[in-house]
Amino acid sequence: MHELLYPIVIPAIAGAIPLFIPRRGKMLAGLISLVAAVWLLWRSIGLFGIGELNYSVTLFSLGEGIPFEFTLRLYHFSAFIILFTAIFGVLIILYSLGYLRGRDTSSTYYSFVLWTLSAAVGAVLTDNLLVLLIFWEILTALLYFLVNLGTEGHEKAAAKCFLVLGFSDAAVLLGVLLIWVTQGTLTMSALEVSTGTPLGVIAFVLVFIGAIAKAGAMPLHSWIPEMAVPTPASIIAFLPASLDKLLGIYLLARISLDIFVIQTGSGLSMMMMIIGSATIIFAVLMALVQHNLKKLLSFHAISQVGYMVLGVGSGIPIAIVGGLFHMLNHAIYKSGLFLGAGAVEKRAGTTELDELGGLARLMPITFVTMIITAFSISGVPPFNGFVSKWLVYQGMLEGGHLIFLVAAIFGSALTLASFIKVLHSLFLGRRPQRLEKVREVDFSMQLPMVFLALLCVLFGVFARYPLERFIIPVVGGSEVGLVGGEIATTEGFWSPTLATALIIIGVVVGLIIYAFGRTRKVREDENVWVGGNVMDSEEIRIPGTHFYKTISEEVNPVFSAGFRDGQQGALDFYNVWGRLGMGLVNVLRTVHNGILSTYLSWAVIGLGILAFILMFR
Amino acid sequence: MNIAKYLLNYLIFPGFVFSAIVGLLTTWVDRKVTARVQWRMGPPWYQPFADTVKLLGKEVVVPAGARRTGFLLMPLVGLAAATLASTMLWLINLNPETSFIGDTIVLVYIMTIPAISMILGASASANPLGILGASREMKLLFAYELPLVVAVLTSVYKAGSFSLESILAHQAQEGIMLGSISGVISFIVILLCAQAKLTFVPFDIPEAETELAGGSHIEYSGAALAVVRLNMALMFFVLPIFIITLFWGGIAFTGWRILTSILKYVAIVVIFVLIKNTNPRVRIDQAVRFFWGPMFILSVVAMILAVLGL
Repeated sequence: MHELLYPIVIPAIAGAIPLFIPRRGKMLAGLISLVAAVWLLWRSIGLFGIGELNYSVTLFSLGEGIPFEFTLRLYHFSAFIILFTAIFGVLIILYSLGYLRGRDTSSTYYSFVLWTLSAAVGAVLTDNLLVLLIFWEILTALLYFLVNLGTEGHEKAAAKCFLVLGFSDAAVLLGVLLIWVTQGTLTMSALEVSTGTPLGVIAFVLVFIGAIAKAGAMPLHSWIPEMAVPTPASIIAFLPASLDKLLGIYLLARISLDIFVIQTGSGLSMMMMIIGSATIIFAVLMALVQHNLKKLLSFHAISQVGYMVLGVGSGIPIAIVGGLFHMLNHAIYKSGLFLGAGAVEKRAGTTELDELGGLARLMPITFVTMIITAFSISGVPPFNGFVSKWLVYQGMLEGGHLIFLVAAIFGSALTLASFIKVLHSLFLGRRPQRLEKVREVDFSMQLPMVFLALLCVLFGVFARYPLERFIIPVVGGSEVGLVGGEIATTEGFWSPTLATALIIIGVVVGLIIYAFGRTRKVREDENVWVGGNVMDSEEIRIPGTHFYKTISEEVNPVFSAGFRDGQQGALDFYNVWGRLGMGLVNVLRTVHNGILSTYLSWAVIGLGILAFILMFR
Repeated sequence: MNIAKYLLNYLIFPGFVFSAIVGLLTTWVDRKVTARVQWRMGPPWYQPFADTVKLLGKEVVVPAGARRTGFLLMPLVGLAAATLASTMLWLINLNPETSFIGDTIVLVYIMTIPAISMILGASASANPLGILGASREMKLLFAYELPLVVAVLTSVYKAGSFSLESILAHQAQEGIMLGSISGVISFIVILLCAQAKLTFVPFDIPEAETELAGGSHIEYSGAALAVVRLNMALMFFVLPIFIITLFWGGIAFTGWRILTSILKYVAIVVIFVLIKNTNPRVRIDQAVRFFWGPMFILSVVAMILAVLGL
């Protein structure tokens, strides 16, 4: 067997093993899949080292001289995506070992995870659009099964995921057919479709729908918030938070950089940037008012896609670098956040923000990892999210897209606001009495969270290494110079290492000031000052859920109307289609009223029309 | 040797020591002018320093139920970030050739860190009034951030680059940003945003002395309170310099420009203090409406004018 087939076949075979292990032996199933995932990681590191490899076999011929080829192509971009796919696979399975203990989930969970890994590797490796589509649909089906393993409400969520993604897969199928009809080949590396013709534009938009639905950009985002609450946190951290971002943006980058020729500043590029910046703002506004941690995080998973679509869609090299780096960073910090949410859910039994609080002391590791990942997603320097967003900003200025630039920066401020609410409600505020006995999660769950948080810091402080190794070769541009630890562009430069060092020194200086003062004997006081009243602890607990009520209700009629509609699902295509279908059904219903004479008259009218056509043909 | 140089810059001049001294002196200007407006004498010039020293000698009290480490550490993070912002600004102003982190966006971001650290500190304080202050401060932050970013970008757009060096160079060649209509409008917008960033009246909503009794810093005491005060003093120093750099040609310590630099700085500080002393406090929803409504529209108008070349 060819070397490139192993990473697809081995996880698929290993995935069959847990099927035969009963529910009680879940741990064994987990360990077996962990071994398989570690093997995949080891293999993908090897493949990343190799760099380029091709494999092709003709499966059958579609008529005269049109072979259908199963082509695999390993090159820099796919190798890098596979590497991170494998890393996330290992982390998620490791986390699941602890997370699933005591949960009523069968061992088939691990089968689905391994098959997902296999299909994802296949989708990234293939060089044939039709094969890519097949793997894409396998992923959709597996997502359906994984969501169905969730708690109450999973059926509806799974159906919604399947329908939205199924719709987008259908769109990709049409796009692929269109490409095949016009170009005569489906080999991705050989294609160069012009978007000057209407057919080219339609084909691009169809495949684009598939890419953004997977990544979760508006308007095809609604499956993510729907599945967020019932699904196990490990699955949300694995699929919509990391793997689907890698895949969706991978496809987006492939179609907009390789397969289709898109001029910078053309209508299509503009469309992508508008979708990107609208996604940033609307999704983050929705996130601000959520009451459930997982749902809130899922809206951020949508909002952040906006930066990637904005960066990649602009066609400006530096912004593309930023967008792709943001894809990687997002996968890291967002899965870290969801894993943290899972840890809180595991120990506190809920993800409702109203019922949580004061966990910083009891779950210190979770707290520290979540504060780092939260700052990363908010783009606070010196963490990784800042670097990638900064690159996108640079690109926007270079292209003169000031409106998108403002949207991107403002979206960042709102993201921060939303995470302040999370940190307050989960960790900093007063602790409800119910949670006094909460403990930190097991080591197997801590390890993935700590690893991801560490990556957030390293990719921020030493941003040039991941940029040099993973991202810049993909774009192949020389516009982004990396000089001595600084990331220099034509517009500006930023030295994260130096700034971080200085901030740490600054904190030390502050500690010295404390040492001068009488801080060594800190006195703990019984009561806080509340206007001179003595109140007990439950009475003065303020959950963070109402932090931004003023904004959503009072400030601006336009905004509040938007919020109301958003809550009721007006921004949700799924519901819009549902309503359209319902309207159609209602029309038909008035026709089918069950009265014989109505049916008879329809039959007579039909007969008349037939007779008319037959007579005057 | 670079590292030693940066360290010296950061700790002594123009970083921590210098900024803290000038910042505290600026708070004295604030108190003196306020006193004169109210027909009082006002404190002597060394009062802020005396206050700081005295606070360092006081006991630190942490309320029960507070998250102690976070509560005490957060002011230090804010202090470090404010110092970094000050160092960056000054080095670029004094020597535009300096290869220091010279980027407007980075600065805008770093200048939000003191506010964030204040919010998190208050949130860890377990005091409902503090938490109320924190929530107000956050709302205020994203209210003023929108027009602030647009105003900053107007200057960036006119210079055609994010980097502060080129903004300064552009002003040196083609005249200061304040010389154009769009520059003046943006300047007004950014002044009001800075007023809110400093949480001065009419935007002292998070602290609201009469209702929240200090709001976000209600539970701080002793050395921690000293650091919180120092933080505010540093920001009081950094923001005028930032505005001068973006719109008023920057500052320099050569020849006549020493005098003009100091005058520019004092002028902006006095504007802040006068607004502070002649206005009542607004509610948080009024503030958000103000910044997202008239201020945002004004800043966008300025940007359109800048794009048109005015």
